[in-house]
Amino acid sequence: MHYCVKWLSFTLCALWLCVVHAQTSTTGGTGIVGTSVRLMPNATGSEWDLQADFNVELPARVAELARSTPLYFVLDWRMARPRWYWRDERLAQGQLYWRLSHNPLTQQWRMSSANSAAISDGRFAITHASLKEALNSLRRIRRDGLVQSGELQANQKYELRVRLRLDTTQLPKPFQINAITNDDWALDSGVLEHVFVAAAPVSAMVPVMSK
Amino acid sequence: MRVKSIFNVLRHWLLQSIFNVLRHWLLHSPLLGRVALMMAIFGALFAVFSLAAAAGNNRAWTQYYNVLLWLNVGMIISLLVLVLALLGRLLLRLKKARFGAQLTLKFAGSFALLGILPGVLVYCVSALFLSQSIDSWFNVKVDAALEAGLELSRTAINAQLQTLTQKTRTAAITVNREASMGAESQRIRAQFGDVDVLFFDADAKVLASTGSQSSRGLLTDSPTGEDLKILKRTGVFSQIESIPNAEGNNATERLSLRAVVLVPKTAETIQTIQVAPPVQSVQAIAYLQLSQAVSPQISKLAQAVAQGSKDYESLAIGRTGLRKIYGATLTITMLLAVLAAVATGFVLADTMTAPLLRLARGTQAVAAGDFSPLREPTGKDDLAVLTRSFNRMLNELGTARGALTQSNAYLEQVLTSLSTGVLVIDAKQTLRSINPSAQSILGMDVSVLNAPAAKQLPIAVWQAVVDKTRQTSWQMQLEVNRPSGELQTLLLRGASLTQSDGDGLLLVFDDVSDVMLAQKAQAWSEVARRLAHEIKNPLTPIQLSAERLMAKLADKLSGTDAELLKRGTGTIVAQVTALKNMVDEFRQYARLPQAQLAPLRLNAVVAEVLALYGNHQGKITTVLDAEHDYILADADQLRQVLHNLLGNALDAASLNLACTGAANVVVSSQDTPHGVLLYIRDNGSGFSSDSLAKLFEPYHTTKTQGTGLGLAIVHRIVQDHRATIRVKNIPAGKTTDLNVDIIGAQVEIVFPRYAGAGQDEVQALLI
Repeated sequence: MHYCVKWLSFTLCALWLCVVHAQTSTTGGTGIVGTSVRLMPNATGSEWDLQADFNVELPARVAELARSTPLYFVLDWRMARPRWYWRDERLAQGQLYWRLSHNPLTQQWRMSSANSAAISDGRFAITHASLKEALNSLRRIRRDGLVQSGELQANQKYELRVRLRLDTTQLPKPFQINAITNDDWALDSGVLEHVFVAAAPVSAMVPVMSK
Repeated sequence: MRVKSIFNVLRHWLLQSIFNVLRHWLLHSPLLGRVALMMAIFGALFAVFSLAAAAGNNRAWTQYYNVLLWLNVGMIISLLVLVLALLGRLLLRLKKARFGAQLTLKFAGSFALLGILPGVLVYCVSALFLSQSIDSWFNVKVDAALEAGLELSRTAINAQLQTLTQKTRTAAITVNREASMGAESQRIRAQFGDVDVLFFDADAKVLASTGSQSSRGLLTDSPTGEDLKILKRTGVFSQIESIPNAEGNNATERLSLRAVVLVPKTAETIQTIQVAPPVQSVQAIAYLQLSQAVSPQISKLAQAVAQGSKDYESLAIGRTGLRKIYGATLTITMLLAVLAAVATGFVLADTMTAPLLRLARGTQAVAAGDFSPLREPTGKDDLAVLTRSFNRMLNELGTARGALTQSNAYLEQVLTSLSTGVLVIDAKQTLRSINPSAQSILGMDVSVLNAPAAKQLPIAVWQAVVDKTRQTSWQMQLEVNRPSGELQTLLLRGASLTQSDGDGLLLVFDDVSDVMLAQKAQAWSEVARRLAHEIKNPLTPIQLSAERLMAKLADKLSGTDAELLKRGTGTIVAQVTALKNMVDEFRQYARLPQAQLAPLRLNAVVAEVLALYGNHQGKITTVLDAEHDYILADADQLRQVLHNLLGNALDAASLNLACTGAANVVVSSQDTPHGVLLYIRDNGSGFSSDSLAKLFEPYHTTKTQGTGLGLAIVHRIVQDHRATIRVKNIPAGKTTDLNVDIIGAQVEIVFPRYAGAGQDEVQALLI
């Protein structure tokens, strides 16, 4: 019995270490780092636009992979009003999709974007000469008309959560099994939170906290 | 501190009980095996399924590959725990030396080995094959070939681009600056064939364009951004572009070429352009762009090469991952298969040994004496047949045993109810068995069993046994002392008893004392009867003759002669009378009538008889203490008994006057649990031990003038009354000298108490 218990605890410890190791290895110099997220009124003041800035730098192996297989990026956003007594009231949420592909013949990079997951090299593709240039289109992400200005009530606290990540499910199979390969394909900005109090109509938002 | 210690005790207790429960469950739960089997099957199926899902290109399953992987790992761990638990259970059973554990271990070990060996072998070969084959797919040659192919495609397309640029330059020179741009563009398109023509100004504003329908106007846009800057700086710009099809399928991109050349204000400057990069000073009236699709053949081939190159590169980058995936899947499958095999092995071993264990348990039960049959398994396999024959054997055994027990009991009963004593002595000369009659005859109890015969049997009997050892069958009559001291006559028969451990001895004996006594009495009464008859007949003539002699001669003789005659005839008559009396006594003994039993009071009869002994006043002490003195007796015979005994006692006491000084006879009646006791004690000299043995035999007397019939008659009467008589010497206190210590004799008669009739009836019968 004792041997059994010992062995079991040892195995569990080993497994736990593996998991922890896999998680800690994601934190590196490269990756997706969110720098700021804001909600700005548009020119007419009728709508609020999302402005999110990210530093996107692909690790060497991911960049190498990008030359041969398209990479998909997803931005998840969610707007909610926190309620201490109940679940948060969800105002709006959605996703933005990007597809980064490389043409070995023309040696050009193409970044296309869409509002749905069924993204393709459509007309909205922009061709770039280099990877860095292509990734610059993820630096400043804008999404117009996130919420109507009428939807926000004055003096209420709101929360905007944004997250930019590489969609690993769209990668070829060998790159999805990061659990055993130890390769880090999962690029993720983590959740960026912007908490603010809606002021009187039109005037700019007063940020409470931004990280 | 106290709270802490209580907590510790509680925790210890809790841990202990959990451990005990686990241990009990481990040892006895039948669930463990079933769970193992279910998990083994489920695990194997799961592994196969996930393997198939991973190997296939199903995106939906690929997404859950990680989850599947961890589930599988969890499966392996739980199977491992299960197998360890099964192993632990087996080891515990081995340690407890439980029957069947060894067999189960052997079975389980063989099954597990059968599972593990091929599994590990296949795994090793597969792993080797996998790692080597995956590496062999990727090598430098293929890499270089693909790169070369890609380069070739680029070169071919670049050549077309060069041609287009040259065409554009030519067109730019020939542009008629006076004509309208629209007309010029149409002219250029007509001149060069399948090209789109576009004029735009420095602000990239389209001035005129002509395009084919097939191009769908995709390239009617002017260069923007960086491209425009390059154009303005150098005057020339060329580019290959890939345009995705409307369907958005990446594989069917269209490749198109674009060449832009500055159209100078004056034709002279064209020369400059052609020779050196145009300078900023060159005045441009417009820019001319010609665009053209790459020929479909080249485009198709180039794209195929590009796609192949991409796929190869992607695979090359992912090959480590691929190898790990396959390796992991293979490992998981192997582990699951092996563990499932081991678990199944344990369960199978349990299943296979279970009927054997049942049989073994049945055997143990039979050994313990339980003949209940086993539950027969359904089915027709060998074990079922075995169980069935075992049950048949049990049945027969049980029947035989029952018959044996019955016959034993029967024999036992016969032996018990036998009045003959039976005992068995084995070869080691210990007592093997002894029946109740033997116990009562020899005055033993069951505790003498298994004791040495030499110490337990009466010396005379043992002596006889030893003497007759050589004979297989013998018979003899013995006189043996009872524990109470009386002599008894035994008729002893011996037979050798052949047993497995040597020759024993079977002793059969009867207490023939009573028979002997009766026979003697019978013989004596016959003698007495004949003697009386024979003697009595001549006695009367003798007496008459003597009296006649006296009558006739008394007058004729005188003096001393007459005196002599008188004395002689007197003696004859007296002696004849005495003889007659004796003969009467003999006849009385011989013809003792059957006792006519009637209820009476013992004390009254005693008192009545004692009244006749009035002249012995002072010598007889009477203590009639019995209160319940009703007995069934023949009053006449009872009187005779009392007369005989009192006479004996008085004779004995008066003969011994020299020692005691005064004769003293005590007559007493007492209540005892066994009946009414009457005893007569004298202070005579008592009996010698020889006399004590033959006391009740006829014609045995210690007196000079006794017939020896007194006590014999007493004995017969007492026997007829179903009473018991005992004669004993009374020892004189603590003196040890046997000759001196006897201070008298005592005769005790115990009559059964009469309880049938009422007191009035008895009173009425009293005399």
